Amino acid sequence: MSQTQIPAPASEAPETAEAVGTTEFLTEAAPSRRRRPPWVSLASYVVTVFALITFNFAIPRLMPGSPIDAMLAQGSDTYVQDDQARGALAEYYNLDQSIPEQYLHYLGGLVRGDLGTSIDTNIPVTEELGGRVGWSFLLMVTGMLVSIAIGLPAGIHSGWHRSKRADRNLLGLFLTLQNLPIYLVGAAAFTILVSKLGLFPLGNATTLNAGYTGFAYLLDVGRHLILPGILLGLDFATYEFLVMRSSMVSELGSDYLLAGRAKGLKQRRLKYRYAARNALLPVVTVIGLQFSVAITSIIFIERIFSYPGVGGYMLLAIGQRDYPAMQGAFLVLTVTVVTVNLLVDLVYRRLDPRTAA
Amino acid sequence: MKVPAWLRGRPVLAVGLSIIGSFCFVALFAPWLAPHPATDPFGENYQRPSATHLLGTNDAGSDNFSRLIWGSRTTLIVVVCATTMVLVIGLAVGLTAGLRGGFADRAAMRVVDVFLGLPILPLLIFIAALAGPSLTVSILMIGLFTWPQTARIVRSQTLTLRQRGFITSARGFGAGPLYVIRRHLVPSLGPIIAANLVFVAGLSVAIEAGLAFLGLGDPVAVSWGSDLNRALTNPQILIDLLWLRWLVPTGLALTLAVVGFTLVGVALEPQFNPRSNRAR
Amino acid sequence: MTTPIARRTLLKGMGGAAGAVLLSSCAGGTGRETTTPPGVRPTVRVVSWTLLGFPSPFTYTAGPGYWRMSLLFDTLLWPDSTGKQMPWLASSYKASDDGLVHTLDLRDVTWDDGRPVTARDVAFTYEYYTTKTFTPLLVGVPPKIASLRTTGDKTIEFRLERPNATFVQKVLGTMPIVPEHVWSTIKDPMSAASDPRALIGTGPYKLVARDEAQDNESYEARDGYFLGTPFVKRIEMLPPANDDPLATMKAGGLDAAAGPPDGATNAVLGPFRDDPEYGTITTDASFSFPLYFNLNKGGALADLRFRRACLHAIDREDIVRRLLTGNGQVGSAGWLAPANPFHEPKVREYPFDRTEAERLLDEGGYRRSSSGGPRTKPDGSPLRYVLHISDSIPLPLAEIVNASLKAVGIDVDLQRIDLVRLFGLKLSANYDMLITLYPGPAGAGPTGDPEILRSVYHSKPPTPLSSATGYNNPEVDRLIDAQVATLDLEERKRQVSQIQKLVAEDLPVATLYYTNAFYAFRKKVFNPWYFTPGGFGPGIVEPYNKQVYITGQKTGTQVRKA
Repeated sequence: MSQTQIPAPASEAPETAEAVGTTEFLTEAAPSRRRRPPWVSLASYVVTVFALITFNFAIPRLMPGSPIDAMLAQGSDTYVQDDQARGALAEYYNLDQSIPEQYLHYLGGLVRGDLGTSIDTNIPVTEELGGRVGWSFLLMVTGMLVSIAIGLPAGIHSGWHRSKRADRNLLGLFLTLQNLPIYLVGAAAFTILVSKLGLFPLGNATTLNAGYTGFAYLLDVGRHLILPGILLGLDFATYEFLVMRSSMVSELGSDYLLAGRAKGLKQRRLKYRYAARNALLPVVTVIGLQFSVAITSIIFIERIFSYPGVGGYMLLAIGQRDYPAMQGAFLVLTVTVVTVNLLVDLVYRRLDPRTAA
Repeated sequence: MKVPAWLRGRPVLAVGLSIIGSFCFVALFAPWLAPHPATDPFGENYQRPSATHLLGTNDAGSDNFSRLIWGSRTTLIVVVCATTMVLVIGLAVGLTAGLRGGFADRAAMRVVDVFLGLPILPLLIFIAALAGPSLTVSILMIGLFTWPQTARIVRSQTLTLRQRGFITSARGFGAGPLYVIRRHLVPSLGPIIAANLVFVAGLSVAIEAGLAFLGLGDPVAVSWGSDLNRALTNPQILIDLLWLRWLVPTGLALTLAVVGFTLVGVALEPQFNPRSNRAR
Repeated sequence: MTTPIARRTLLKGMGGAAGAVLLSSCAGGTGRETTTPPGVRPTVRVVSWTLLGFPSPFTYTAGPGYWRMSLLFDTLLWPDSTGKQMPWLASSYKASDDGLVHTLDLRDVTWDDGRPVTARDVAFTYEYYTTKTFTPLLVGVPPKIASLRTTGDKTIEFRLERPNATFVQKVLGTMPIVPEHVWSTIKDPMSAASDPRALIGTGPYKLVARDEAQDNESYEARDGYFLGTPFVKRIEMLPPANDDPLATMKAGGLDAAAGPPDGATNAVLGPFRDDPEYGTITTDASFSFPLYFNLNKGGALADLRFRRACLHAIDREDIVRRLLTGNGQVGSAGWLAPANPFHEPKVREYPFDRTEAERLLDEGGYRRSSSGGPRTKPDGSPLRYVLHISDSIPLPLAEIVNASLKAVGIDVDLQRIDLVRLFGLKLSANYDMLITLYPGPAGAGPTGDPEILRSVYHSKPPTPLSSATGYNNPEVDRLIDAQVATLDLEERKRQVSQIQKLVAEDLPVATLYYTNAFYAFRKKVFNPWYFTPGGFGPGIVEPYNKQVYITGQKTGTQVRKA
């Protein structure tokens, strides 16, 4: 399931009517936030992160049937009997204090990196997540590389030959791809290619208990990455494709291309050496933007392939209703996404010659 | 057959509309189209396709084909409710921001900013997990998290119109804000929002199915997403081609619905965007 | 610089080569060795579960957590496939005729750190268990004793106030002995969640690898274990791919796997039964599905006729036939399953009979509206209740119950929620009706010691997790208290029979059906698996009795030669 819209920060006012696009990826190669000074992005980021933190704090306390209370109330069946675990829970949630005091306590904990202790394993959530962040990141990077490898060349080709048959075919193909829900494709791939045909490993990031080291270990990790990586890549590729295509299309009217053709340069050279190169710039920065959309697909893939990442952890914790773990994973996931968006925003600002300081 | 002018030469739009049209038709006339009730747990389960059960039966003995038909109703409900929510909230916020400007505008855009940067699914998963799975929660959440894009578009268009002076001149003639909205904004907003809303519709179908797939949808409602979940978690799914008659039709129905909306959205979009016309 | 063409070809070639290497390593490697050659001690791969906690005696969670922990720690007695408790950490065991005094001598065993195991450790362990409190997910809260005496280093004597029929299993066979010199320095046992000292034990295996994120643990046999070096050299616990252990085993990822607790169909089990490469074992009634009524809410729920009507309205034979393809049994209204040695067959039965259900409801004053719609209570309000089910209950069952009750005019609002929330509702008595999987995390199923009746039917149960809310029958209470103190088997059977008859009449909770446990394994890797009659530890009905790993055979303490 890919979202068809690219989340992009708002513009102050449209410079032209072109900015009013519903499917910006078909028209605008890059969102028009050129006018926003960096401090606005930063302020927006801080507000968002704070909103997420507060949301994370508020929701469990607002939920009907107050599950945390049930865990702390003596006589409750979900009562955590042992003093230590209950103490850790009570300490983290702090329900007998007033709400503002709880909030401050919670914030203080966050600053110290305290995300509570998992009820089920009695291990600090931060510790549990630490091992997993790396795997999610690896999966994400692999997926993006694959999507670039698929989407970019296709986008170049499609943009160059716009409106012709090649273009229409590729457009049709990618739009169909985008609408196939990732969980369906992933589950089908797993069932057929892994369970039935045994072509790929059974899930997880490595072959457990095999004790590989060095190069053998890397190979093992690679083996386990192939299928999830390809699936993610296919899922993301449409985005790269459309953006690249659109960017190419924008380039097509450029004078230098006309001049080049007049000089008699070969089509191929023009296509790749010049047009594509120039079209690449906006694409590069936009790639980072798909992060928040990518997270969704990663959660599904991690579940299907039991990949030991943060998304999978969140789903596991939900299954067990391990509240501190759930909240911790959620916070890490969302804050990471928002942070990446900010970084991309700032990087873009540097890269785009039109806004370079 | 005479093809109406607005449809001529636009195969993408035609295909998309026919998909959506058939889907709406099936959803509306479900009680007459479905040969069996959606949940009839007393029949033989895992039956193969036959004259009475076109796609066989599921794990409880209910008819797969009927569930497919009834499932379209749930999907339609989700689409209509979520899209309406998005329309209402998006219009309200966007118009206010565009017409009033100033503080209201900046505040609204900051809020939109925050929302746009958020990854929707983790939020929905989190809330669904805490609130308990239900269709109402799903619809509410989808609506609440997808309006920002619409609001932004509404606002942009409103500002453009303001720039072009229509609004100022109308106001100059003594027109009240509602008149302005009715006579100027709606006609120009209409098409653009339509395209956007169509995408929102497709998105809401996909999200609801995604949540159901994760087991966070309403298990009692007949929905394509929860049927997918049910099929995929069934250990017998690979035996006797069960997947072919249970999983594949449901998955196709879902995909087709989303594709339909996307096609219409894609088709509507270039018409109102001068730049891509130029690129063509 | 090479020409563009040559450069491209080179890159393609490299890419192709890398791809080929990866692919070939792919094709080779989804499974590993699927036979154990003769003369070699086997490595066995079994299923791990997620989030099971550190395997120390105070931080593991639930039944599966218990048997992992049992690999590292020993109890005084332990059963084999006969179900009889054998002296284990104890070298000898004697009980007095009146059942009040239990004397044990310890073997000469040392802890992992070299210090000897003494009677003081046993005394300390018992005191530690009974004075500290743990999560409800920890199994086996031991019954209290009058006194505990140690004589010298190796002899220990438990003295009970009253005879207790479950003492031998629940204390001597369940409580893992821990070293005093380690745990006396740890005030909060739960805080030892990653302290390696918490794993200092006497057990047959040592934890050699643990990856929390990938739910993966490995245990290696401990040379010099007091019964001899265990037969199974290494036990690996791996997560099942796609939550399907049987499919994972088929694909080569595991050497033994269980069918799902909510029952598997013959279509799924068939391939394992028919394939000579696999051995299978089953045991009856390892899990049951009770339908609880909240009697505290009064109204129809407290009305016996209504409850009986509900049970008559559901075709349980059909459920067992269709949903389980026969791999289960219709539930007994007396709670104890037919496979239980204390089962009383002559309890009141509730066969599927819609007419009888309708009659009972009519008699109770729940009239149908004229059009044949749902019934109304005598006060005019609709006969409508909320039925909560946990998400471990298969949806078809929920749909059948829903439709069956509707067919007799009982309007049911079905809500499916997660287990934790369900427990919460159950305890705070905030429900109308609910269906859950039994046993919960506690382990002892409907084939366990009749003491399980206390947690269901006694008005003051040890934990309200499984109790019939609002049920209070003084005669049942009296009988339950009596049977636990009755050591004479025949007398105890009579008392337990009487309890079952009474509760079947009162029907505060209705057992819908039982599912059979199914377990399949690769014969050529390791094959003496069995289900322990009466369960091991507090009554766990799983094939992971460490006796089988240690000895490589089904009975006794003699370690087999490879």
